[in-house]
Amino acid sequence: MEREAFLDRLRARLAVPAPPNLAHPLPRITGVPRARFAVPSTDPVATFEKAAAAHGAKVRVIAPTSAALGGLCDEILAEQQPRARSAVVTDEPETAGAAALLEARGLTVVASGDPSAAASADLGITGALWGIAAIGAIAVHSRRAGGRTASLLPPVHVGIVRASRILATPADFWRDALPSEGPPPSQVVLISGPSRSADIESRLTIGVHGPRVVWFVVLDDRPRSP
Amino acid sequence: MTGIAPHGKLRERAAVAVADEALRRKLGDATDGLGRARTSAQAAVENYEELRDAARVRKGLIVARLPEILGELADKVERNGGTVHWAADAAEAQAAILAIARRRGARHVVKSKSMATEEIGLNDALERIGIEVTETDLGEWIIQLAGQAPSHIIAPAIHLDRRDVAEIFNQIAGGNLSDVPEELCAFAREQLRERFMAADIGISGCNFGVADTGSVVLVTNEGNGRMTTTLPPVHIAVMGMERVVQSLDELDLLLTLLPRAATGQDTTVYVNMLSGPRRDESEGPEEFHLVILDNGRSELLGSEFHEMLNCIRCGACLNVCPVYRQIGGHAYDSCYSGPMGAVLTPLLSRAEAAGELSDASTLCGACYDACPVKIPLQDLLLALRRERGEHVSATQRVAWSAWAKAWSSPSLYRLTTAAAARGAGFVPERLAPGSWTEGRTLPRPPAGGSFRARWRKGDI
Repeated sequence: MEREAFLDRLRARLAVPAPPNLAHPLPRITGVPRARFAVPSTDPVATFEKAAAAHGAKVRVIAPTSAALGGLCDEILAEQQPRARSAVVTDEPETAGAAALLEARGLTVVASGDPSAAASADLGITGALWGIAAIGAIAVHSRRAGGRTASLLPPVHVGIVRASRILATPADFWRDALPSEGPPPSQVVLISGPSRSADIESRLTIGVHGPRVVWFVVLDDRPRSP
Repeated sequence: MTGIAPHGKLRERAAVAVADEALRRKLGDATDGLGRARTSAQAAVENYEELRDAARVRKGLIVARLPEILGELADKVERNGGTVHWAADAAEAQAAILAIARRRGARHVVKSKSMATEEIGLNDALERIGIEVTETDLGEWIIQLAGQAPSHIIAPAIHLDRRDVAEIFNQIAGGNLSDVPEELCAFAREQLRERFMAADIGISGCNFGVADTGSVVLVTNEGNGRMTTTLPPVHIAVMGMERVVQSLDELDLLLTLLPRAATGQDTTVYVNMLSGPRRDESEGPEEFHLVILDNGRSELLGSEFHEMLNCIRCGACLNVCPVYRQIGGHAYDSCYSGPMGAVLTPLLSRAEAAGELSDASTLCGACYDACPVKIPLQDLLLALRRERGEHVSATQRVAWSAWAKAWSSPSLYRLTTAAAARGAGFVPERLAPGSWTEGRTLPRPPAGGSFRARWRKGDI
């Protein structure tokens, strides 16, 4: 059907107002209230750590230095069996230096933007423009990350976010931060941990189609109190 | 594939389900777990009740402006490089999708979970022209392999246990899999990964369309939703026309409510906001299509049933419904089951047998209590029954009238119940309205006299 014919059918039906429900009348409420969480976030980083860990993500808060990131690479590589041999790394501010650190540890590193390279990589490293503390999630933008598959296809995903970009609540992200960026790219995805399913007997299984292991690395760029 | 065209009699399908003790145990365990998770997740939001009220009001405002909002959504999707198709009914939706498939020479399609595509019988239509369709949501893939229909709108394989799944997978695994869920999931991951990489088209549903940004938002846990909408060169999203919001504020509100109500999660693992095909990027679909589906939804506009268009497909009502918990989704013979299915199916379906579904209720209102957007489902079920009641036979009308009259007067009430207590029986079974006595037994007279008699004697 053509657009106007389709919409005209709707307009015709809406010309007659619907009868009110007298048994359960509509409440008088205006606007779109924000959620108030029972445990409000006083320290976004601590809240983020707790929420993400509850989803099965491994969270590390490190100084934004090459040495700290190198130490973390050692930890991540030690945990993965068999040891990772290749990684796909995006070109984002948060991932600066990561490729060199991994190459120094013997990995082959490819740039993001090629699905078959990502599919055969053992490890995917991306940045994140924002974090959301209350739900332990990071926001990954497709154009910025040079594509979509670095955080999706490898079995291990490392998402790096700056502490100063961790927002307290989802409302802070959807209503304030996201619209402030201008028109969104073709994909923005919130990631809150490793992939999961409870479709078999409601038994939670970690690692279905998306990554089985997820690390959230918080670069602590908050100013130090004197 | 079930679609929304029930066959046969609800009573018979329900009797089969009730006799299946294993099914009732699986349903009880699964729905109990989902219900507990929901109430726990809701408790973490202090103003949850306020959000429910606001969602009910906002959805009503959205539905009242649906033509404008859909127009804006379409404009923005097109500005982002996508194509919009307006499908008045299932046939038009199928035709639009088949046309894309033919133009692309598609042979393999992957799908992430979409009840709208079940509703329109899309898989059958694609398979009829020789296209291989693979469901990639784990529960949907399980039932696809088993040749079954989904039995819950969120957990399609809720009626199967691990032994059932192992048996189903072993048909293609050659009998080597144990029934450990982790092993079964690993098998699914490996099998489906190949299909994702080889697919020509990815078809998804849409949890929310956002008019202000021209976006389609998908909430998923497994990663199949991201794969389906990233790897194939074409992405088609099928969206029931009412599944839209105007603003990101409203999106935020509904994203707070949906995962908590559905599975008790504060968020799904992935919340995927897609705004058109790829632009200056080397990954992502070249083509993005949005199919906006009416298929009977417009009939609800301006009617007493319009609040049914507020449903966000969370499944919370299924999990608390005393009827669903006993009979499961297959007894409804519709892809939409439980209270929301009992309301939506007769409103969208032309099948005669759909009307019966409003009987699948005790009108207890547990669904309304559980619904994150406060749809007064029990009022809608009652309204559907009232509509059907307008079509009863003259004999039934007379019988009901007579009974109502008799019991409206205290003296007549006393007379009839006293007579019944003395063994005269109530109404002789053969004279009572046939369809009402089918499946019900009339009460036998109480031993020791009527309650009132015993009360008067001081026996109670």
